[in-house]
Amino acid sequence: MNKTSKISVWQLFSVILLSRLLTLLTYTTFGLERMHNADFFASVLFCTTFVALFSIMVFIQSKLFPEKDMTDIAYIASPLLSKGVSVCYAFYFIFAALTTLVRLELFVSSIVFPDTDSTLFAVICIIAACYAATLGIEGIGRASVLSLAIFNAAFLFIVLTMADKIDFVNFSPIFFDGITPSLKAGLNSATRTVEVVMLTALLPKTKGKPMRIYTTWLLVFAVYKLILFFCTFGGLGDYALTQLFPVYAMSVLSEVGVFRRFDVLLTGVWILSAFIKISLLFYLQAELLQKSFKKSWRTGYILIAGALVLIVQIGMGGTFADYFFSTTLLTRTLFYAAFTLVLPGVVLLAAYRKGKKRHEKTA
Amino acid sequence: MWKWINQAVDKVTQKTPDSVQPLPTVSTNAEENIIYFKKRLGSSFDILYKQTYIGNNRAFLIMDDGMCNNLLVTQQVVQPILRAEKMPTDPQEQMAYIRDKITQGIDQKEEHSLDAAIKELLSGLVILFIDGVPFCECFGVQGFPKRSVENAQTEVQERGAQEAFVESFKDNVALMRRRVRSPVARFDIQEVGKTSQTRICICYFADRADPQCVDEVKNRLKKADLDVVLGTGYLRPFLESDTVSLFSSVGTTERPDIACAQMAEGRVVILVDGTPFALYVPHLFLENFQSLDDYNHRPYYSLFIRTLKIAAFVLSVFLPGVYVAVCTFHQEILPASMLYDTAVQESITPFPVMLEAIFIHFIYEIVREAGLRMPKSVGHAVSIVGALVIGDAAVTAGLVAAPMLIVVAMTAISSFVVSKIYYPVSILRFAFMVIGGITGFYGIIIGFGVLLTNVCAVQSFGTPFAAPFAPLHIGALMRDTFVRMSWTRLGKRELQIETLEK
Repeated sequence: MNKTSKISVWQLFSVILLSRLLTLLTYTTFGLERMHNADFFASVLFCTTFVALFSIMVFIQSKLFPEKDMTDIAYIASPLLSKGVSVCYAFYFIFAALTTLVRLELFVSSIVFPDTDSTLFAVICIIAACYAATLGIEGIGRASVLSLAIFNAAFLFIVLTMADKIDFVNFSPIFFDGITPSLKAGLNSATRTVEVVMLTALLPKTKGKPMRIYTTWLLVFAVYKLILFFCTFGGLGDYALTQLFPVYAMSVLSEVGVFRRFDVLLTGVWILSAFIKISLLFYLQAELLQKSFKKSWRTGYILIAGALVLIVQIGMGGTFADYFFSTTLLTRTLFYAAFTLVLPGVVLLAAYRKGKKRHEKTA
Repeated sequence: MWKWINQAVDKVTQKTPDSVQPLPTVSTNAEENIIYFKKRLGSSFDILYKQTYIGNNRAFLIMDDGMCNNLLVTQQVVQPILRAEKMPTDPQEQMAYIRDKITQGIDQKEEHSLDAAIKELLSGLVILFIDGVPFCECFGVQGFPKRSVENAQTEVQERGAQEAFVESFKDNVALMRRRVRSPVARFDIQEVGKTSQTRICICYFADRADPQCVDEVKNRLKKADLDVVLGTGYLRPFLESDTVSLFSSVGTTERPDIACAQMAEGRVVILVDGTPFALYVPHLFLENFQSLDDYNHRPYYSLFIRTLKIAAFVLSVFLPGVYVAVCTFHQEILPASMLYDTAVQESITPFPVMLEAIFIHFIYEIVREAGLRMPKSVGHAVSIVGALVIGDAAVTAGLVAAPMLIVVAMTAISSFVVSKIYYPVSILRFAFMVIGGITGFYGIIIGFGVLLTNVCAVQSFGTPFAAPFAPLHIGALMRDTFVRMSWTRLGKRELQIETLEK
């Protein structure tokens, strides 16, 4: 009968792993400079290192203020700062939801329904995500555990059914053009990892020791990525690099007996993950906003976020998708660093100094 | 719009009166009491009043004809009182003498309030008023008509006990007591319904039920703002989770053995007088796939049956939707030969696959409902007509494709395997047919995501509905979910439902 609204560390693990795997499944080499396929393996290592570096502020937050999110921490410094921070993070989460939907629609309109308008699909997806967000973090957390189990089963099935297509001849020599392409690919992948920012809001909602599980997540995610790259480039070779969605192209190869086209399985779990991720992002932005503004408007914030995402996506006619393909790596890195390093850094420093001053006064 | 609907509803309804009035006490003038009784009960023919004299004092005996056993009334109340010797002359001493020396029943009570006496009268007790006594004596000689204990109809068991609950809740308590002869089994009585004043019994094991949960159940039922309670369904919404879901977070059973098993796991069982079904909380989603037979079979067979039930659930919810989605959007999934056959069959029918699926399932639900509500003698005729119309004529007329018919048949049979959740399953089936027809397999995935999140968000008295899967409890998962441990290990310790909250 204990009423809590917290998730366990394993639910946190599932929710952020699922969120990141979604980005991984739609990994696209478009926009990257030409590189050999084996360099992608090295990029996994660089990506993991970059993500760890971008997570420094989260580690500091968990040490100094383990039970508080950024809005609470900012409140220590100033209530106005707290409001500003929650608006900034809410904007970021809505932005991340929008990019997720853009990818979803890009995928659906190019692969699933190339001949029909995918607007209805996007609308249904957002309505469903809004509903799930209103159910709360526990529902999303628990659903993510089951979704991850389904994801793993589908992933394993696809890897096993296409394993005979893997040929080591398909792999190119590593670092043939030097280390720079791998570094850039690693940074490119790291700047698409919204989970670091998510964690700043999820930390106080987690029971147990979340940072330990976060470290595990970094490693597990790297392993997943390596397996996926191994199967994709082992099965398709450099042909994968010519595809908009290489992982999807790999899944098309899987077959068993008379049954083929198991890409539908991968697409299915990918959509499920997208749904969970968008729901979580809507939930998080509403949580932050209700802390700083009107509490009873939680459902309202979720609906506004949903409407905003739909208006931008449908109203702007897909121009938002350009973000992926036209933004330079530098711009994206700066934008990402602003939310993972600069903003949390400023908030933590301000709160720490204010706390110290108070402590001195009372002493 | 809601305001307008509420106003419209208010026009045709009347607020139930709050019966919070000062209770009149029993008068020393017995006739005044009888006048009050007649005023409250009107001219109901089943209420019998008998005026007599005990010694020199005027007395009244009142009984509800249909609720009392006439033989018992004569043997245990009327004859002993009227034939009593050495009866004291003082009225109060007379009443004490009758209570202590004359009547032999244990179920006897003294009432000082007239309304409480009326309640006892309507429960089947005989009331005795004596002039000069400021209270009345109630004698338990109930004997209303009731059904005897019969076999379970909705939870049929292959091996083991066959008894089911009956309408009389005292008999139901006896059925449970017989199975658990332990002092820890508690049966607390409460009343709900302003007018019906229905008795409900809250049953639990004192040594393992969470006291907070028991109190919460009692409080919620106490606060249930109902006028008349005629079944468990009236109380269910007051025990449900705050999260709206198609699946009920309150369990139902008609078997006393299952009710006892639930109590042994620390749950609270609620019996309602006049209903042969019990409710229990907390309830888990997975329990919809379990039956008592699983515990009578060997573990490997239980595993097989439970897996079969989950597969049947998945089929009954998703098969028609997936079929519609595949035929409309994802034909490439089908092997070439199957694709050709299906395409040929579907090309003959005039409707799009989605409409065809909805139409045929709608017809099926009509036939099922008719078969369920009709008298048994006509039920067979309905089945034959249904089979002929759907099975043969629809295909011959080219209204429905043969593969669709196979889908309907498989879905129908699968849904009966998980009969406990037939109603949500049938609604979900229609929903997924529509989603599959509009957005294909990917819409079905989103629908599945919504369903999954909804089920995971439901809490039944603090216990997650989707436990032990979400949140994951390895101990409970390995004990008795898909896999069931052998009784040599299972019997050593009972599962504590409270632990699934953590």
